Amino acid sequence: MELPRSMEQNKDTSLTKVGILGYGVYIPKYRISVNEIANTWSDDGPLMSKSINVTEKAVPALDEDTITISVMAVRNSLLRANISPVDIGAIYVGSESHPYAVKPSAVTVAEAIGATPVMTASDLEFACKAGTAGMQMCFGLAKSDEIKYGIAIGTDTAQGRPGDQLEYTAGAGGCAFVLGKGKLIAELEGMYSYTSDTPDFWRREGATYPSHAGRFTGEPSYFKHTLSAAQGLMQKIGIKASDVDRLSLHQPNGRFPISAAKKLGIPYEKLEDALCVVKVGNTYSAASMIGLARHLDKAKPGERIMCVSYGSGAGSDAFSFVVTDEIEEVRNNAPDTDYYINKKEMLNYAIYAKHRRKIKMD
Amino acid sequence: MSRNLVAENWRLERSRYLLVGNKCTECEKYYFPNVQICTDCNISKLDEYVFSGKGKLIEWTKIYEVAKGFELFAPLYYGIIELEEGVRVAAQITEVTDDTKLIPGIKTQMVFRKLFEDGSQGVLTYGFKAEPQI
Amino acid sequence: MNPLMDKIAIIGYDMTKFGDLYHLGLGDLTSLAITGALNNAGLDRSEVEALYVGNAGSGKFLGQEHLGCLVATESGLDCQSFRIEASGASGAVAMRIASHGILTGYIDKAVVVGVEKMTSFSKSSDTQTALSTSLDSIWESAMGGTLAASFALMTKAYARKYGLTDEQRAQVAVKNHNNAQKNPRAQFKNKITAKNVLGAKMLADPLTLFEGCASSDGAAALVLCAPEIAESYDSEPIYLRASKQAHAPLALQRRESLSEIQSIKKAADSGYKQLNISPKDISIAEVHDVLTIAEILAIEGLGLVELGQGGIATIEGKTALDGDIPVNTSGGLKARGHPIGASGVAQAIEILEQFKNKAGDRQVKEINWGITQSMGGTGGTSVVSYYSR
Repeated sequence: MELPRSMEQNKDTSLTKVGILGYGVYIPKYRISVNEIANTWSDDGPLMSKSINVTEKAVPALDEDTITISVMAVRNSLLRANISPVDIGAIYVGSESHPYAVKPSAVTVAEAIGATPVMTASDLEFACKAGTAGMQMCFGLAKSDEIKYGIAIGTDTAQGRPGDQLEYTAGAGGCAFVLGKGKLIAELEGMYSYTSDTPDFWRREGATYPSHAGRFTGEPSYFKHTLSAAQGLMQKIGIKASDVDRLSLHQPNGRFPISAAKKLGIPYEKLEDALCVVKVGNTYSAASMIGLARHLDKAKPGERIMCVSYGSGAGSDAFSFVVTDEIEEVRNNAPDTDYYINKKEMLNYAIYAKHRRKIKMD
Repeated sequence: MSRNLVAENWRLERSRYLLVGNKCTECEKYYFPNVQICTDCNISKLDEYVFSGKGKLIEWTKIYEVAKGFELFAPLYYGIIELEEGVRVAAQITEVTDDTKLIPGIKTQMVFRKLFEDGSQGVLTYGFKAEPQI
Repeated sequence: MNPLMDKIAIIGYDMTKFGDLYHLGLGDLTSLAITGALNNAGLDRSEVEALYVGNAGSGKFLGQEHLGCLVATESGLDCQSFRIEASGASGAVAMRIASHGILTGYIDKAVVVGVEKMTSFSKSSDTQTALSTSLDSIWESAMGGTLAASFALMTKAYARKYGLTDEQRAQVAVKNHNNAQKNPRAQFKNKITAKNVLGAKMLADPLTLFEGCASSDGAAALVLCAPEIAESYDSEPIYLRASKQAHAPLALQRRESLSEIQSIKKAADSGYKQLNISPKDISIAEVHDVLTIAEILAIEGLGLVELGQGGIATIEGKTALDGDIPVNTSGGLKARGHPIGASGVAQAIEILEQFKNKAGDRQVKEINWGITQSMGGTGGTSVVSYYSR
């Protein structure tokens, strides 16, 4: 008996494959070391660096912001995706540092790649998982054939409160994924999210710097959601931890993801390639996505990559991808993640403060 | 800036973000920014053309005394770039660590950057700057 | 009527001090200069048939437009008035337009006044912004460019092509300050050295603050009349014999060459041709040294020295007061002062003083032809004017 068409689609989800067609990263070249920040606040730099497993973080140039970084990342993703911008039906920019509180970054990005005007766009905020939320939206629209391709971007130029723990890690960077059906470099096997109202980290409207709840950001927040999402995903698509070849997790510092991987029973070696936080800090909305991108720089066709974001507030989005042969055709069409990680110029605290507008000008 | 940037920025978006100019359908002359009339041919039939962003450095300087609104960005590297299609533009030069490497003739690529902030309340202006490829 | 100039008589002139004249408004400046010029000419206010006001930026400096009317009102003139704007060449272009009125027989007598009141800005970045309105505001200024930056690009391109040392450039400023010491009308009468010039704060590499002009307030006025009636006012009138104007693309990137200002040569060549003279016939020149490099490019454009020789000629003293071709005996824009709209007229006044043997210690002995060169922005507009007895 033939099922009604809609039910057929529900049944054969494996045939309506969506996934990643292109990816692009952009990280500003400036850096400030943990030691330099520590010296300013009379902290013990080496001790701090060791405890968070971060040596330095990325700092945007004076003329860079979430919009400019997003554009550069998107341009890289299009070099790999090889699609026409007019076929882009949706662009979402997830960030907690949009240049405007009202006027979406997404429209400027869309204009800058020639995707306007027949398309939808919006900005998203969900702390560090705003970018992956955008990915889910694109997958939904593409899977239902509402759009041909969608672009999800996670970018931040996060502000760290001076003298606070998070100042050591609040970095800057962006990652863009071109998503849809077609010449996929990685197929989406499934996604799963875990969400609750958990006040671990927040910023009130108009406040310059975010506030956080210290140790509360750990077990009931990052770990609860990351682990629940990861385990939920594995169960949903019927895989075990040992079936995961590569893992990308949200990286607020260089310790939490290592601990989470361990709890999931996934060896450190499978996480390692994604741990960009050590050299560029926490890129917030871009963090787990840049980890995924770095995996894509290196993965072999057939490898399974699990990517789990975490956004304070709180929620985690988990995805499982299987890399295709196509990756080898397009991977080298744009600079890889290491190109940006290795291109660096160190700043002292004074210049960093100028770059981050921490100096009261009037 | 005392003039209204809203309409001006909107009009210039495609030029500044995407390097959209045009090309005369008769004499094939490239124009950036785009024009309404090819004054050589006296015709208004021009095709839209997207410049590649690749170019070379013609001349550069480092501006210390900047105009209002650029104070935080000073000193600025600024120069004239010849796009590979032959048209010249003025632009800031970005990502300069060692300006002894800024030699006329070096290749450049246009990147997307913030050009101007109209105070704390006004619109933001984005556009292209030249990144040396060295 | 012959559209090519015959001659225009200049029968009166005067100028205010140039400097930070906080106590004088724009109307005050022009009233003083115009009254002085009319008295000098022996002309009554009621005889003035038209007023031409050269001004670069009253709108942005003062929030004031409709200047023709304002100046006429404040100067007690009840006549038609025009405000002419061509950036730094405003005063010179105002002289040209006035001349056209006289040449066509439309009017007999005109007053030309060049004026600027620009010292009210407290931040140098505000002044830079105002000056950048003489560039392409979108494709040069909004890109971060400034007037000094454009000249810096020309300096570097010139240096690469011909060679140009910092000292050669600095000598322009040193010479002009030397000359200004002998000019009671000059704003800056201090001597400066190359070391002072080159050690000053950078504007745009390699040009320093002391290679450029300070903001200045001031007005300079002339009374022009038809040659047939000149001698009833002045027994030995000096004549404006030709005034040529040429164009170059506004933005530097639209020009063919960065190491030459083509509009200067175009205007100058057209003048020499019309008058059937050559650069060798020029006895003195007042040029638009808005920055040191501009004087070097000007003397080359005028054909007073060979292309590429401008810096060398300056350092070798060829353009000094006692040199082969004295340039900017007044002190130039640099030392005499540069209230933008006034300069084009102030240059003419120096030529007149020289012709009339009133230049005191800076008097040049044998003068047959004088030339002034005025420029708007980076040379988008150039005016070259020729004077003789």
